[in-house]
Amino acid sequence: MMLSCKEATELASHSLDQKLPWPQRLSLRLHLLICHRCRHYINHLFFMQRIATKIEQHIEKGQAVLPPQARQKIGARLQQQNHSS
Amino acid sequence: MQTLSDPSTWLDQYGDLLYRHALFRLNDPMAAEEMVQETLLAAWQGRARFAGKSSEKTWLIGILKHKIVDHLRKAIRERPMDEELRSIDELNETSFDPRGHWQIDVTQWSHPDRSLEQTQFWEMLETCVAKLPRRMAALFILREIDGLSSETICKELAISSTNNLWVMLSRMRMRLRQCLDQHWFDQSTK
Repeated sequence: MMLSCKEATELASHSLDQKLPWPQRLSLRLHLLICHRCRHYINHLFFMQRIATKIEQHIEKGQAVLPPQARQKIGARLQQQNHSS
Repeated sequence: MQTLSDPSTWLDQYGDLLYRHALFRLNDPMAAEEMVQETLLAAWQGRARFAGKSSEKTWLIGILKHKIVDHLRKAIRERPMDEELRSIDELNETSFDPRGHWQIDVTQWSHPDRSLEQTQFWEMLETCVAKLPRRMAALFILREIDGLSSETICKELAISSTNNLWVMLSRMRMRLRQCLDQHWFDQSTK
């Protein structure tokens, strides 16, 4: 039984989350052997998974700053808690 | 063994940092401010429980992430799932013909690793995550960044079964892939 590309992309994604049972693993492999688009697709998935683990260090270097009003409000709230505790 | 600095300096030291994490995770400035406040309040109150096994910064970010999961749980449970699934189905329809064969080209990404050194690449990735429907973005964050288990994610995001989760993860990845392809790799090869 041949997988369609749509099914192959779903299995490819699924394989990132769980080890596939061998029949599915085999049919995915066979599909990838003959389908270059799905082969690229699964490589894209691997790449995205790899970069996801690095994104946070880039978030920290970002430009966004806590707006001054919010900073003031939070500061006041913290003071208040500090005095009451 | 790490020790904590004076809590009254945390807002100055970590306010922006916490805000950046929260804004990325929620894509909502108001909610992000709220998360910063809740985190600092909880950390101040619970500072006796700081075990000194991680740095102060890591500890605070850990608290923030818990607060954000609580927030997501409430926010996302109230949102109907159908609408999000429909917008994702449209992508499936344009990507595949009725027999399930690709009707778009999927090409090799040239030198993806070189992109990682470019600031614009990460900004574009952030934009692509922000463009996902909320539940999908939460899936990306909880699964791909935090690496939470399927069971935990289903529970937090009110997804009825792990089968549904896998379908949603697959669609989320397809959507994100398409965004990266269109806004980055397509241009860099031309």
